[in-house]
Amino acid sequence: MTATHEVEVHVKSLKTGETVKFKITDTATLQQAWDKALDELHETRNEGDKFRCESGDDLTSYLNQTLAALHDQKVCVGRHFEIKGPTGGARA
Amino acid sequence: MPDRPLPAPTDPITASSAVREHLTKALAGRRYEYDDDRTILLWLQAARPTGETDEYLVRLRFLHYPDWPPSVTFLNPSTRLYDATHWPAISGNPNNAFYPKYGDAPEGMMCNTTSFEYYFWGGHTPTSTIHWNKNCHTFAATIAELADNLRKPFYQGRQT
Repeated sequence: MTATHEVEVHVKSLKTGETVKFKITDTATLQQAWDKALDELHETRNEGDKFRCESGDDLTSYLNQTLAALHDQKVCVGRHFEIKGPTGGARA
Repeated sequence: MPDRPLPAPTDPITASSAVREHLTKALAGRRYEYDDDRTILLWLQAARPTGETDEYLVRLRFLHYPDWPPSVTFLNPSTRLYDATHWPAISGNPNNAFYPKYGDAPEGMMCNTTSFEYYFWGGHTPTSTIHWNKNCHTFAATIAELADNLRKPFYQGRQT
């Protein structure tokens, strides 16, 4: 049986610059961490929003994985995440 | 001339109050100067694909804030004036382009929904999904957009 424990997660909203940090079990999925961050930020998820690592790496394909699994894969190991809203403009 | 009439500037006290309210979080960890009258100078580092870094001086003006995003341009750091030769070159971003000169826009254009110029030059018609919304955006979104473009995979170096 694998022991679970809580880990600290930092999430910054790039829409407002607001940052929250909280503890969550490492068996939670990244999607659940995003949802909790939205609660703490008093924000809602909007069409086109992305959850990403502070490095800028998009984590959409990891949303159903647990935080423990991400850590094992060395994905965003510092657990500093960002919410980026959609923007638009010309293609560079 | 802009595509359509520019909106009336926001009452200066309202605009300044909004800037002050959002400034600490939007600019945390960054080098900047605020003149207390709706203009911020911001120094940003850019990382080339080769690993070298370049520094840029950005001016944000908040005459229509928070109803509209700040005006964005790049300055010559020596003169602190708009200078088309001091803009970064970016490539490959599907949602943003930097134009040191753009039609009648007076000081170039960061062609993105987080800049004021986008809405009034170039005939853009953004959907509500990406349109600036003062109820959920602060100028932190503008800073994030600038910062994203000044690193991999978009930043290419100085414009030549």
